Amino acid sequence: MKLRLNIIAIIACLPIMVSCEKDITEKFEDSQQNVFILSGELSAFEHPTINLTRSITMAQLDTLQYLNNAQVEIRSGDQSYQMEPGGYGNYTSSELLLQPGQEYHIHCSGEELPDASASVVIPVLPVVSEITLTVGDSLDLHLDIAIDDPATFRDYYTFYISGWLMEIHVHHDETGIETRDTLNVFTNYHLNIQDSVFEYSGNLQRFQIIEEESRYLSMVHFSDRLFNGSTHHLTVNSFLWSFYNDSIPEINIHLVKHDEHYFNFLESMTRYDPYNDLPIIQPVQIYSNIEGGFGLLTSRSHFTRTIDMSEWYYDPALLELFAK
Amino acid sequence: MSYLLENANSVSSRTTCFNCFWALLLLGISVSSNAQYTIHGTVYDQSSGEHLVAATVFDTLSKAGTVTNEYGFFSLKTKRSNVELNCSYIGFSTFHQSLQLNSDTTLNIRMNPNLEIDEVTISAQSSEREFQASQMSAHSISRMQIHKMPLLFGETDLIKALQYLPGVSSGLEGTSGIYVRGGGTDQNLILLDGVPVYNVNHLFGIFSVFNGDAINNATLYKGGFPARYSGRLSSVLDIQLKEGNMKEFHGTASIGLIGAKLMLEGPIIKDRTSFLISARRTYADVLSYPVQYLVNKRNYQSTDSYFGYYFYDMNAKINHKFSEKSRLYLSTYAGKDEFYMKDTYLNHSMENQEPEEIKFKEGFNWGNWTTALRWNHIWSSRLFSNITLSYSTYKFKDFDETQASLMRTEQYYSGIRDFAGRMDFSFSPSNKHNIRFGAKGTRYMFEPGVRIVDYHWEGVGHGQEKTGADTITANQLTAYVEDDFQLGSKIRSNVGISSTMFNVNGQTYFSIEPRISARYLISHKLVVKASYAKMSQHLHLLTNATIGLPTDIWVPTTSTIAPEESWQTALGVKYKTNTGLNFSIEGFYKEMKNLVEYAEGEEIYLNDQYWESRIISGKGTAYGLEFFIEKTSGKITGSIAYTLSKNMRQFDNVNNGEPFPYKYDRRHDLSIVVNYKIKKNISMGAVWVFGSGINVTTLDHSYYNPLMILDHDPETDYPLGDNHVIRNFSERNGYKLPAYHRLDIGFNFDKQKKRVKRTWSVGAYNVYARKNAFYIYGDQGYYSDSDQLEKRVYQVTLLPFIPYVKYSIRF
Repeated sequence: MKLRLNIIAIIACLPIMVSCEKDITEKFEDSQQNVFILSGELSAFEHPTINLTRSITMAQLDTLQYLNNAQVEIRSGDQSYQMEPGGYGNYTSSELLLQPGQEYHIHCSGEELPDASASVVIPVLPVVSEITLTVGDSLDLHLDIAIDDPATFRDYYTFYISGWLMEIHVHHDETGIETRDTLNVFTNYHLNIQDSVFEYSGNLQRFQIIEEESRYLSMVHFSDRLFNGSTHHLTVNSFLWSFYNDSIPEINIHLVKHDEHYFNFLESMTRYDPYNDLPIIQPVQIYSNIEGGFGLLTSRSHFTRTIDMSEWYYDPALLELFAK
Repeated sequence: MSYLLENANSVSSRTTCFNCFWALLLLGISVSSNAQYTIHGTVYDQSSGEHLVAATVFDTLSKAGTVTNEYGFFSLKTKRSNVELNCSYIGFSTFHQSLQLNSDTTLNIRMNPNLEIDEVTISAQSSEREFQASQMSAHSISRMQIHKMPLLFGETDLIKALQYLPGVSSGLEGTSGIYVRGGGTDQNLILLDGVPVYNVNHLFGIFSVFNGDAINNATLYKGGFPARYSGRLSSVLDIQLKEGNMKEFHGTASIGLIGAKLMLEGPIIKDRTSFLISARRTYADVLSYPVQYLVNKRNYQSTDSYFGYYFYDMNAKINHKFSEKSRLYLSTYAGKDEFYMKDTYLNHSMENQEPEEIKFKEGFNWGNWTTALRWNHIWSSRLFSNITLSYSTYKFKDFDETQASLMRTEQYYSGIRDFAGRMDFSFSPSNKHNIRFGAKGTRYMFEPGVRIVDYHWEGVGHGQEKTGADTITANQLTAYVEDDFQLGSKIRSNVGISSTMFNVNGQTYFSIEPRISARYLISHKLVVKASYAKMSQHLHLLTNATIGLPTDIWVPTTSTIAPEESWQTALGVKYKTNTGLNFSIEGFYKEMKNLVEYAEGEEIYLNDQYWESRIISGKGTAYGLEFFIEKTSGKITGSIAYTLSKNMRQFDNVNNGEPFPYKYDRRHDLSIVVNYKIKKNISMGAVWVFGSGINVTTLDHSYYNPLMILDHDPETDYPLGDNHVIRNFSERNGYKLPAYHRLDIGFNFDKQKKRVKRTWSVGAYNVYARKNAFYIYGDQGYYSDSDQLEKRVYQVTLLPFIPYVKYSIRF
């Protein structure tokens, strides 16, 4: 049906077939100015780091241009700090350690571009009061994470579990003899969340799992809309072998609290279709909180807990399963 | 003023208020009524037997007058026993009769067409009626006026003719959408013989579904809506089909570049029963078959592939006169567009088996079907009624079928159906009052999107999978009352109220919509008019496209989608000269709320249960000034319409919540229409339009995904992953395309033959080939003229110059 949707669009554009077009590149060369693209994720208890690139106008080639000669200032209350360039468009301030609950304002100038700025508030740390991990007789794994959510504003969370996964690779030599070796891969484990924490449910599956290529493999994004001001038990079911690695027997539980900008950006990205250039379809605008430019300045605070899995990874039943 | 009905008591109190309003109104009328005799009847065209709408009936002695309603009925009271009655109508000789009354009298007037009078010359009379009426912001257009306009692809089009009126914006180049005073196309109530039509587009809006040959007249209301109309926010287009000639057989036929039309009308039983049937079909698919056959034969030995597109529509009407007091009408419209591809080939992939013949067909179609049964009855000299039962449906279907050992059909469909019953009464207690009241009940069935897969595998079995949204049923009950009354010699007003109950999924919404319009005659040449109207709309059209696509889906108000509401006020003056020139200026202000649309990026097809979560709502404001100059007599006639307006929208989820201009917010909109009778048998029509460019959301910058760039690969300096470039579009509708203008010219050459009158129509759309911008896009690639990688920006023009020729006969 998707194919015919395109057919409909093409037929709708039938008159285009008797159309003509005119090169108006010159008009855009004169009228459009590049702007700053500010990218940054400010994390609690870390030094601020942002990245600056230049936007590409309608008439310019799609090339990435890092900006290393801009003046970047970060300010909190009366205090302000210059952020120093570190190559590849990165700027950082080693003097400043970001604090939860504080507001920070970043201002960029220079590079013959219009000034750009953005403000964020670092979220307070997410509170996980209890983590319970149990493994059943069938090697089924059950994780219960108790999140104490403050009854303040809307809070936005990202949850994921990372660790080393043992991949088994099977080889056959020229004579057909099979050999096996293993490879340790650091990954985010795929999640199977059991409870209703998501903004949307049903077939839409927005925010349930957003796979951002190469950055994260599997993360769950949700707000506290359904449990604001209470303790919520996030439950994850899986099987032990899904997390198995006997040489590094641990997994990391992550709960990240983000600001709203991050979620607005993700929400617009889930609807964005970079290949949609049909003139009759309303395009998706990507969220940006940068004044005078584009990009995203967001903030987060991060809770991490490492769980030792030795007790279960050396379970005879699991080892027997892998031996097969 | 729509709100959720909370309890029975609140309904009761509102109903009581409503009843009080009626009672007071009727009481006031009965007190003011002191006439002695009533003359009533119906005004007919003597030549065809069809009734005449809005004919003027006037007693020159008492100076009392009235106009016929949409069924030709009039009722006139007089205090005198002797009257000198005149009846006039466009294109007809004035009827005159002296009467000596001693009781109430029935007078059916049969008027003779005046062939000596130029058809446009007489349209001054039409302007006079509009001048005198309390109604403002309304324009009537006749079949003759539509036929004078230059054509696109040789097809007459009512909707395109309306685009030349003030306050009416056209949509994209060449399309038939109308955007009235800042409203969207879904906010137009389009009635064909009183039945709503849900999709008026053939070929994605290039043509409208209305066949110009079958139309008698149409009236567009842009504001000051009479209470008898409700259900849409921005306009009412009331189209009346011809009734069919009661006396003689007549017809028209035409053939143009893309299609042919035929219209026949005549008596079934002379002076008792008449019929009208009209049909048209495009034939591009038929003409292309031989070419496709040759291509198939030459290139693809094993396949037999065809594709095609066509549309057809058909109007039929039967009109039976039981008596002078009672008539029955049965009318129907059916239309369909279809695009299809079919393929027959031999499948050789099955090993050790004979090749299997596979037949495959896929495509999509859409269409409307409406039908209405109406009964007019004159109960007394004061009371006229019209009872209507109607059915209207619109359906879009996308299908594919495979016929082989595995038979498989898949279809997706969406649509809307409604069954309605309506009673309208017209009551004239005196010459100073004309009261209309009535009620309408409608049952809607919405199908927001269903997918069905059927399969049958020889020797294996068969099955069916059905997914999608459930059918939603809703019931609507509307009641109204309006009184068009005269206060003294200068003031005439129409005051009315309409109330609606809409029930869906167990919830009931209630709305009360007051309407008022009034005119004050400063002199017999100058009139001031004002109006206020509140409207609500429980049907919403979902689209994320910028033109009317057949995939657009009608959905009802639900617990999460509030009814759309608007209020509009307008003030205007009209001035007329003795030389047939009319000037008018109107200012309007309109606010709309709970407007709906798809969230950005949502699929056009709805096929799940969660469609409500894909919808966003917002509000809109439109205001402007409309100038209209009309010349209705002489060899050269025409009009100049200019609109200065602003039209904004605000949605919390769009444009960061900031207000943005509506796509068709044209600050300046100018149309000049000229009709010139060169000779008795040669006429010319020309239209020049100029408008500010429409607003589009266009690509303005690109940049690298901010999240990915933080994880860039230091070896390549580039962000990790694919699709890392974000195409950033301007603010919603933030780019204004260049101003739009074009000139269309058409000529009609008539010749009276022995039995028929034939007409050659020739002309062109966009005569000077103005390259109006449809959209712009950027393209990066190697260009042969420069032999290097470049990015260029192009502006696309749709219809640079489209000539036409058409041959038609009338008999």
